[in-house]
Amino acid sequence: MFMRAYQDMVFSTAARLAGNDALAEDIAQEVFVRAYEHFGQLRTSPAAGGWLKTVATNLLLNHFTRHRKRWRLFSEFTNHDSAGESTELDFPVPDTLLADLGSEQRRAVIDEALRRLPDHQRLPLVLYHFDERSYDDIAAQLHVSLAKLKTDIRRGRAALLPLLTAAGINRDHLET
Amino acid sequence: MRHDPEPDQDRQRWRLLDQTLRDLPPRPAPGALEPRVFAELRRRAAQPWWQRRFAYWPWPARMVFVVVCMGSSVLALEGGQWTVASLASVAQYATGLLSTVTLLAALPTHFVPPVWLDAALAAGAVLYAMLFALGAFGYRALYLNSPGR
Repeated sequence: MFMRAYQDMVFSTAARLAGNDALAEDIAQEVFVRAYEHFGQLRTSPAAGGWLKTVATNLLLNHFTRHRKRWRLFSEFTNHDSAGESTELDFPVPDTLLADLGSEQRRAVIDEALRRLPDHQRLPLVLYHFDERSYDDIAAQLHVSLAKLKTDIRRGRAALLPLLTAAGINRDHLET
Repeated sequence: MRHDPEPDQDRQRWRLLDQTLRDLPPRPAPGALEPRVFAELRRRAAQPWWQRRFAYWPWPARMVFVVVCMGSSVLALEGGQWTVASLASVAQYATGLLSTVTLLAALPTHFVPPVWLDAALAAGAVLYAMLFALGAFGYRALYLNSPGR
Protein backbone atom coordinates (compact mmCIF):
# COMPACT_ATOMS: atom_id res chain seq x y z
CA MET A 1 0.00 0.00 0.00
CA PHE A 2 1.26 3.46 -0.96
CA MET A 3 0.90 5.07 2.43
CA ARG A 4 2.52 2.25 4.36
CA ALA A 5 5.48 2.33 2.00
CA TYR A 6 6.22 5.99 2.67
CA GLN A 7 4.73 6.91 6.04
CA ASP A 8 7.92 6.27 8.07
CA MET A 9 10.00 8.39 5.70
CA VAL A 10 7.48 11.24 5.70
CA PHE A 11 7.02 11.16 9.46
CA SER A 12 10.80 11.01 10.04
CA THR A 13 11.38 13.98 7.78
CA ALA A 14 8.71 16.01 9.53
CA ALA A 15 9.68 14.94 13.05
CA ARG A 16 13.38 15.67 12.62
CA LEU A 17 12.69 19.08 11.15
CA ALA A 18 9.95 19.97 13.61
CA GLY A 19 11.44 18.52 16.80
CA ASN A 20 7.87 17.95 17.86
CA ASP A 21 5.90 14.75 17.28
CA ALA A 22 2.44 16.32 17.35
CA LEU A 23 3.38 18.86 14.70
CA ALA A 24 5.11 16.16 12.68
CA GLU A 25 1.93 14.08 12.71
CA ASP A 26 -0.12 17.05 11.49
CA ILE A 27 2.36 17.68 8.71
CA ALA A 28 2.51 14.02 7.70
CA GLN A 29 -1.28 13.92 7.56
CA GLU A 30 -1.39 16.95 5.27
CA VAL A 31 1.32 15.45 3.06
CA PHE A 32 -0.72 12.30 2.49
CA VAL A 33 -3.93 14.25 1.94
CA ARG A 34 -2.13 16.18 -0.81
CA ALA A 35 -0.65 12.98 -2.16
CA TYR A 36 -4.20 11.61 -2.44
CA GLU A 37 -5.09 14.55 -4.67
CA HIS A 38 -2.20 13.63 -6.99
CA PHE A 39 -2.47 9.92 -6.50
CA GLY A 40 -2.97 9.29 -10.20
CA GLN A 41 0.53 10.50 -11.00
CA LEU A 42 2.26 9.46 -7.78
CA ARG A 43 1.06 5.85 -7.76
CA THR A 44 3.39 4.79 -10.54
CA SER A 45 6.01 7.50 -10.28
CA PRO A 46 9.52 6.52 -9.17
CA ALA A 47 9.89 10.07 -7.79
CA ALA A 48 6.98 9.70 -5.37
CA GLY A 49 9.29 9.50 -2.35
CA GLY A 50 11.09 12.68 -3.34
CA TRP A 51 7.79 14.46 -3.96
CA LEU A 52 6.48 13.47 -0.52
CA LYS A 53 9.70 14.53 1.18
CA THR A 54 9.71 17.89 -0.60
CA VAL A 55 6.08 18.57 0.33
CA ALA A 56 6.76 17.62 3.96
CA THR A 57 9.78 19.92 4.10
CA ASN A 58 7.97 22.82 2.47
CA LEU A 59 4.93 22.47 4.72
CA LEU A 60 7.18 22.47 7.76
CA LEU A 61 9.10 25.53 6.63
CA ASN A 62 5.84 27.33 5.83
CA HIS A 63 4.63 26.49 9.31
CA PHE A 64 7.75 27.96 10.89
CA THR A 65 7.49 31.03 8.69
CA ARG A 66 3.89 31.60 9.67
CA HIS A 67 4.63 31.31 13.34
CA ARG A 68 7.78 33.41 13.14
CA LYS A 69 9.76 30.83 14.97
CA ARG A 70 12.64 31.02 12.57
CA TRP A 71 16.08 32.44 12.65
CA ARG A 72 16.34 34.96 15.38
CA LEU A 73 19.34 37.24 15.07
CA PHE A 74 20.88 35.83 18.21
CA SER A 75 21.62 32.27 19.12
CA GLU A 76 19.57 30.65 21.84
CA PHE A 77 22.12 28.00 22.52
CA THR A 78 24.50 28.45 25.43
CA ASN A 79 27.43 26.47 24.08
CA HIS A 80 29.20 29.40 22.47
CA ASP A 81 31.30 32.29 23.65
CA SER A 82 30.32 35.94 23.85
CA ALA A 83 31.71 36.70 20.39
CA GLY A 84 29.14 34.35 18.94
CA GLU A 85 31.46 31.61 17.74
CA SER A 86 30.97 28.08 18.89
CA THR A 87 33.41 26.82 21.48
CA GLU A 88 35.86 24.15 20.48
CA LEU A 89 35.10 20.67 21.67
CA ASP A 90 37.47 19.88 24.49
CA PHE A 91 37.16 16.09 24.64
CA PRO A 92 38.33 13.33 22.36
CA VAL A 93 35.86 12.29 19.72
CA PRO A 94 35.76 8.53 19.08
CA ASP A 95 36.23 7.02 15.66
CA THR A 96 32.60 6.04 15.52
CA LEU A 97 29.56 7.57 17.15
CA LEU A 98 27.17 5.36 19.10
CA ALA A 99 28.57 2.35 17.28
CA ASP A 100 27.93 0.02 20.18
CA LEU A 101 24.24 0.78 20.18
CA GLY A 102 21.52 -0.88 18.19
CA SER A 103 20.07 1.11 15.35
CA GLU A 104 16.85 1.80 17.26
CA GLN A 105 18.73 3.05 20.31
CA ARG A 106 20.98 5.15 18.12
CA ARG A 107 17.95 6.61 16.39
CA ALA A 108 16.32 7.43 19.73
CA VAL A 109 19.47 9.14 21.02
CA ILE A 110 19.96 11.23 17.89
CA ASP A 111 16.31 12.20 17.62
CA GLU A 112 16.29 13.29 21.25
CA ALA A 113 19.48 15.29 20.74
CA LEU A 114 18.01 16.95 17.63
CA ARG A 115 14.86 17.77 19.54
CA ARG A 116 16.92 19.71 22.08
CA LEU A 117 18.38 22.04 19.46
CA PRO A 118 16.65 25.38 18.87
CA ASP A 119 14.68 25.64 15.64
CA HIS A 120 17.15 27.92 13.90
CA GLN A 121 19.91 25.35 14.36
CA ARG A 122 17.93 22.14 13.94
CA LEU A 123 16.28 23.05 10.64
CA PRO A 124 19.42 23.87 8.64
CA LEU A 125 21.29 20.99 10.27
CA VAL A 126 18.64 18.46 9.28
CA LEU A 127 18.35 19.89 5.78
CA TYR A 128 22.11 19.71 5.37
CA HIS A 129 22.79 16.27 6.83
CA PHE A 130 19.58 14.36 6.12
CA ASP A 131 18.47 15.99 2.89
CA GLU A 132 22.05 16.49 1.66
CA ARG A 133 21.33 19.95 0.35
CA SER A 134 23.96 22.57 -0.37
CA TYR A 135 24.48 25.60 1.83
CA ASP A 136 23.31 27.90 -0.96
CA ASP A 137 20.16 25.89 -1.46
CA ILE A 138 19.29 25.87 2.24
CA ALA A 139 20.08 29.57 2.71
CA ALA A 140 17.82 30.43 -0.21
CA GLN A 141 14.98 28.29 1.10
CA LEU A 142 15.25 29.61 4.65
CA HIS A 143 15.71 33.24 3.53
CA VAL A 144 18.85 33.71 5.63
CA SER A 145 22.32 34.82 4.67
CA LEU A 146 24.96 32.24 3.88
CA ALA A 147 27.06 33.44 6.82
CA LYS A 148 24.19 33.04 9.27
CA LEU A 149 23.34 29.62 7.92
CA LYS A 150 26.92 28.41 8.32
CA THR A 151 27.06 29.78 11.86
CA ASP A 152 23.81 28.05 12.77
CA ILE A 153 24.89 24.74 11.29
CA ARG A 154 28.26 24.99 12.99
CA ARG A 155 26.68 25.74 16.34
CA GLY A 156 24.14 22.98 15.88
CA ARG A 157 26.88 20.49 15.19
CA ALA A 158 28.92 21.76 18.10
CA ALA A 159 25.91 21.24 20.34
CA LEU A 160 24.91 17.89 18.88
CA LEU A 161 28.25 16.13 18.88
CA PRO A 162 28.85 16.27 22.66
CA LEU A 163 25.32 15.05 23.28
CA LEU A 164 25.86 12.06 21.03
CA THR A 165 29.32 11.34 22.36
CA ALA A 166 28.13 11.53 25.95
CA ALA A 167 25.21 9.25 25.17
CA GLY A 168 27.54 6.76 23.53
CA ILE A 169 29.96 6.82 26.45
CA ASN A 170 27.28 6.50 29.10
CA ARG A 171 24.95 3.76 27.96
CA ASP A 172 23.07 3.87 31.25
CA HIS A 173 21.57 7.11 29.96
CA LEU A 174 19.72 5.12 27.37
CA GLU A 175 18.17 2.70 29.78
CA THR A 176 16.49 5.44 31.77
CA MET B 1 26.55 19.12 -5.97
CA ARG B 2 27.21 19.89 -2.33
CA HIS B 3 30.05 22.21 -1.48
CA ASP B 4 31.58 21.90 1.98
CA PRO B 5 33.93 24.73 2.87
CA GLU B 6 34.47 23.72 6.54
CA PRO B 7 37.73 24.49 8.31
CA ASP B 8 40.14 21.56 8.35
CA GLN B 9 40.23 21.09 12.13
CA ASP B 10 36.51 20.30 12.25
CA ARG B 11 36.24 18.37 9.05
CA GLN B 12 36.81 14.94 10.61
CA ARG B 13 34.30 15.51 13.38
CA TRP B 14 31.64 16.77 11.03
CA ARG B 15 32.23 13.91 8.62
CA LEU B 16 31.68 11.48 11.48
CA LEU B 17 28.50 13.29 12.47
CA ASP B 18 27.34 13.46 8.88
CA GLN B 19 27.87 9.74 8.41
CA THR B 20 26.09 8.91 11.67
CA LEU B 21 23.08 11.02 10.74
CA ARG B 22 22.99 9.76 7.18
CA ASP B 23 22.93 6.12 8.32
CA LEU B 24 20.10 6.72 10.74
CA PRO B 25 17.02 4.55 10.15
CA PRO B 26 13.70 6.38 9.70
CA ARG B 27 11.44 6.83 12.67
CA PRO B 28 8.40 4.58 12.58
CA ALA B 29 5.25 6.60 11.99
CA PRO B 30 2.68 6.41 14.80
CA GLY B 31 -0.07 3.88 14.29
CA ALA B 32 -2.65 6.65 14.52
CA LEU B 33 -1.36 8.38 11.39
CA GLU B 34 -3.08 6.16 8.85
CA PRO B 35 -6.56 6.36 10.47
CA ARG B 36 -6.07 10.13 10.84
CA VAL B 37 -5.31 10.53 7.16
CA PHE B 38 -8.34 8.48 6.08
CA ALA B 39 -10.60 10.32 8.53
CA GLU B 40 -9.38 13.65 7.12
CA LEU B 41 -9.97 12.44 3.56
CA ARG B 42 -13.52 11.38 4.49
CA ARG B 43 -14.12 14.73 6.19
CA ARG B 44 -12.95 16.65 3.15
CA ALA B 45 -14.97 14.47 0.82
CA ALA B 46 -18.08 15.23 2.88
CA GLN B 47 -17.57 19.00 2.61
CA PRO B 48 -19.95 20.93 0.35
CA TRP B 49 -18.35 22.06 -2.88
CA TRP B 50 -18.12 25.73 -1.97
CA GLN B 51 -15.91 24.94 1.02
CA ARG B 52 -13.41 23.10 -1.13
CA ARG B 53 -10.60 24.59 -3.15
CA PHE B 54 -11.56 26.40 -6.34
CA ALA B 55 -10.08 23.66 -8.52
CA TYR B 56 -12.64 21.22 -7.10
CA TRP B 57 -15.71 23.38 -7.71
CA PRO B 58 -18.17 22.19 -10.39
CA TRP B 59 -17.48 23.93 -13.71
CA PRO B 60 -20.76 25.94 -13.88
CA ALA B 61 -19.97 27.39 -10.45
CA ARG B 62 -16.46 28.22 -11.58
CA MET B 63 -17.81 29.96 -14.70
CA VAL B 64 -20.32 31.98 -12.66
CA PHE B 65 -17.61 32.93 -10.19
CA VAL B 66 -15.31 34.11 -12.97
CA VAL B 67 -18.09 36.14 -14.59
CA VAL B 68 -19.05 37.71 -11.24
CA CYS B 69 -15.41 38.56 -10.57
CA MET B 70 -15.03 40.17 -13.99
CA GLY B 71 -18.28 42.13 -13.53
CA SER B 72 -17.13 43.31 -10.12
CA SER B 73 -13.82 44.44 -11.60
CA VAL B 74 -15.58 46.39 -14.33
CA LEU B 75 -17.94 47.96 -11.79
CA ALA B 76 -15.02 48.89 -9.56
CA LEU B 77 -13.21 50.52 -12.48
CA GLU B 78 -16.32 52.40 -13.59
CA GLY B 79 -17.03 53.48 -10.02
CA GLY B 80 -13.48 54.72 -9.66
CA GLN B 81 -13.72 56.78 -12.83
CA TRP B 82 -17.09 58.22 -11.76
CA THR B 83 -15.68 59.13 -8.34
CA VAL B 84 -12.69 60.88 -9.87
CA ALA B 85 -14.95 62.80 -12.27
CA SER B 86 -17.28 63.80 -9.41
CA LEU B 87 -14.39 65.01 -7.27
CA ALA B 88 -13.06 67.06 -10.20
CA SER B 89 -16.44 68.79 -10.71
CA VAL B 90 -16.79 69.47 -6.95
CA ALA B 91 -13.29 71.00 -6.92
CA GLN B 92 -14.20 73.16 -9.92
CA TYR B 93 -17.38 74.40 -8.17
CA ALA B 94 -15.47 75.16 -4.97
CA THR B 95 -12.86 77.15 -6.89
CA GLY B 96 -15.59 79.25 -8.56
CA LEU B 97 -17.30 79.85 -5.24
CA LEU B 98 -14.06 80.94 -3.61
CA SER B 99 -13.26 83.44 -6.35
CA THR B 100 -16.80 84.92 -6.09
CA VAL B 101 -16.45 85.32 -2.32
CA THR B 102 -13.05 86.95 -2.79
CA LEU B 103 -14.51 89.40 -5.28
CA LEU B 104 -17.41 90.24 -2.96
CA ALA B 105 -15.03 90.73 -0.02
CA ALA B 106 -12.88 93.10 -2.06
CA LEU B 107 -15.91 95.12 -3.23
CA PRO B 108 -16.08 97.64 -0.28
CA THR B 109 -12.52 98.78 -0.97
CA HIS B 110 -13.76 100.29 -4.21
CA PHE B 111 -16.44 102.47 -2.54
CA VAL B 112 -15.18 103.18 0.99
CA PRO B 113 -12.24 105.58 1.61
CA PRO B 114 -9.15 103.81 3.04
CA VAL B 115 -9.10 106.02 6.13
CA TRP B 116 -12.53 104.76 7.09
CA LEU B 117 -11.42 101.18 6.73
CA ASP B 118 -8.37 101.82 8.93
CA ALA B 119 -10.59 103.51 11.50
CA ALA B 120 -13.01 100.58 11.45
CA LEU B 121 -10.17 98.16 11.98
CA ALA B 122 -8.80 100.22 14.86
CA ALA B 123 -12.29 100.48 16.41
CA GLY B 124 -12.68 96.71 16.11
CA ALA B 125 -9.35 96.18 17.87
CA VAL B 126 -10.29 98.58 20.68
CA LEU B 127 -13.70 96.96 21.11
CA TYR B 128 -12.04 93.51 21.26
CA ALA B 129 -9.58 94.76 23.90
CA MET B 130 -12.46 96.23 25.90
CA LEU B 131 -14.36 92.99 25.68
CA PHE B 132 -11.27 91.12 26.90
CA ALA B 133 -10.82 93.54 29.79
CA LEU B 134 -14.48 93.29 30.71
CA GLY B 135 -14.24 89.48 30.68
CA ALA B 136 -11.15 89.56 32.91
CA PHE B 137 -12.82 91.96 35.34
CA GLY B 138 -15.96 89.84 35.46
CA TYR B 139 -13.89 86.71 36.12
CA ARG B 140 -12.00 88.30 38.96
CA ALA B 141 -15.02 90.01 40.48
CA LEU B 142 -17.63 87.30 40.17
CA TYR B 143 -15.69 84.05 40.27
CA LEU B 144 -12.38 84.45 42.10
CA ASN B 145 -13.85 86.61 44.86
CA SER B 146 -17.04 84.62 45.30
CA PRO B 147 -17.77 83.61 48.96
CA GLY B 148 -18.01 79.89 48.33
CA ARG B 149 -14.50 79.73 46.83
